[in-house]
Amino acid sequence: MPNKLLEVKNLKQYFGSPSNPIKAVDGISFDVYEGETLGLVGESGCGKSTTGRSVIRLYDITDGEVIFKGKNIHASKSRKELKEFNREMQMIFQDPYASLNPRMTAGEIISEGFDIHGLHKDKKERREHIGNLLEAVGLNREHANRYAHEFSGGQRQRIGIARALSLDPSFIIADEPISALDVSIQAQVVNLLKKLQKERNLTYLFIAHDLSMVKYISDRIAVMYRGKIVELGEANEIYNNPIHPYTKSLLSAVPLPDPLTERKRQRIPYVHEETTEQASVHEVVPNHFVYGSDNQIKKWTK
Amino acid sequence: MRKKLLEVNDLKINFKTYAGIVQAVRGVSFELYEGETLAIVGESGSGKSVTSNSIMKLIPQPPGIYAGGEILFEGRDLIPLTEKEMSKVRGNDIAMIFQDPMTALNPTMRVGRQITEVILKHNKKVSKEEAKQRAIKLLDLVGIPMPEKRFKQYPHEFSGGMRQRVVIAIALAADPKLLIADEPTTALDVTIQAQILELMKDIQKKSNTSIIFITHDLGVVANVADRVAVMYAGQIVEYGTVNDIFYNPRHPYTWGLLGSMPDLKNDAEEELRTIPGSPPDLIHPPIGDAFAARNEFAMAIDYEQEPPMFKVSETHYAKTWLLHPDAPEVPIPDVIQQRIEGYLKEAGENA
Repeated sequence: MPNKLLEVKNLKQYFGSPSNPIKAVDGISFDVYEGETLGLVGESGCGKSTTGRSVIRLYDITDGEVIFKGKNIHASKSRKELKEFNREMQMIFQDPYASLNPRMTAGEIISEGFDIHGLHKDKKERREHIGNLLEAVGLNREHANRYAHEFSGGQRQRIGIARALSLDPSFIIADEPISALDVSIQAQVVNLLKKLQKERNLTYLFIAHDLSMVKYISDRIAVMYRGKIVELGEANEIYNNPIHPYTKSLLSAVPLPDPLTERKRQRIPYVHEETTEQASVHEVVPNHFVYGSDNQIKKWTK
Repeated sequence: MRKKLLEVNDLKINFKTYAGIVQAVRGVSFELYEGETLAIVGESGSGKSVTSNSIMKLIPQPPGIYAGGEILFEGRDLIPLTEKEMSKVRGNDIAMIFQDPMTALNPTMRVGRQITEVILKHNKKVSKEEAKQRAIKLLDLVGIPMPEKRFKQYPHEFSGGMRQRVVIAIALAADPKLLIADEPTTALDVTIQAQILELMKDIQKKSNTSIIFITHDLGVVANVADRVAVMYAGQIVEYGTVNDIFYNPRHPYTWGLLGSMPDLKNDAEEELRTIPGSPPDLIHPPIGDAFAARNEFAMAIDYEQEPPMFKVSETHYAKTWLLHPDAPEVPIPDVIQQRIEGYLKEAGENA
């Protein structure tokens, strides 16, 4: 059994006034194991990005616990401890245009973390490290002196990945890292992420709305709807044996590059069913979890 | 015989920039019949949006230059038309649905007025009240619940999917014969995307509208298209029916596009096939085949001479030297061939 790298317990992230909050994330729990990729999917506004941002402490969470390598990272921490944590956990952002400072060269962007953490003070050593990182993500050493606007979208995303890798983290949150890229470039970046995972034993939380890419890259998938994880399980299990009606609806809407299937496609509409009964997480099949009330689960698994 | 609505012949569009002249569209030809959907696929910078914008004459001049070719709409060339003549074609004959429903609507104007504006502009005989009734009918047609109430609301009161429906209602307001949809679902969630695609197909069935559908998502293409044009570096590199392109792709670029999509159905653990490198600079388009530098099957001639469109079948053409009788036999790459066989087998079983 692999180690639990991250445990999220009953995480809540509310925004707005305390009397009438927007419940972006409304009590979710999940674990991420060392070396795996957990895919987080859902439509816009379901709280998937908020989850990622709460886990990495970009927000102060409303309630719950985020335990990383056995430590609760939202409990008040000293600056030193936070720095340590920041080295371990990094993020790749969606928009490769907005997430790179246009006034900095690629080398400066990648090495900013070195300054903050007081690493590689020797100039030559630093240049060497920057060069290695650029090569690891498929760029050239010479690219270090160029500015962001001199790169294409795919190359920029590679710089974003090199920045995330610069402090040698163990856990990376990738928030829609490929949504802004062209199909052929998406495949390049996904292959790169997979390669880096193998080489560096990285663990990913991969947030996306593109189900086919998520299924391809993930070992397990969590499906979010209105701030809740409604279904979680092995990627193939979720795809072949979805139980929650929302997951079924989502899967039925993904178009495939196969015209004969597409002509017969029947979309399953999802109607949200309000229930007054107490809902909870059920383990329907081993390692396959579904959120719902007892009666709902009975109905769905029939 | 179906009626030919649009014919584009050897269209060339350039843009003047400080760095030089960008040849964005380099000799594109295709035709479109009544009631048919043509999908134009390609990556950003391939010229697909420039092509579709040029049909609406939405290319700003300068910096844009119509450098050659013709756009025949019902036999009449649109390129020499004046702005005034063109404004009659826009909306009435050809309408456009834009990618981003968040910016395509005027945020300070009620949704209803944005629709009636189009109706009143294109038909001087219609009274305001009639226009309103028609707008409400349109909102109903595109599947917006409670159209009377929604008519009076502002765009910010609508969700993304609902706004795209409004954009479609505006496009349909003057009953166009041709609808150009430029990535209409790219900004939407998959479930909403599926609804919008259904809606567009439904409208097409009812009113026999022709649609040009611009997208980079091959899944969407398989869903909506009758015929497909694959664009690369300002040219159409493969052209055929949707079955030709998906079950018998002949151009290595099409192989690359198909291979870089993960396959949801057939469980494959191997790496995604990618197209190495990035598209060429169109200020100095490469000599020979523009795709040669990224093509693992490139031959010497690819760097010397541009390939012509080779005929694969009556409906299917591809612009690659691999189809020349003297070229070595290059089969469709295994991964893609296996996938296609998987799809066809399943279709056979379900038939």
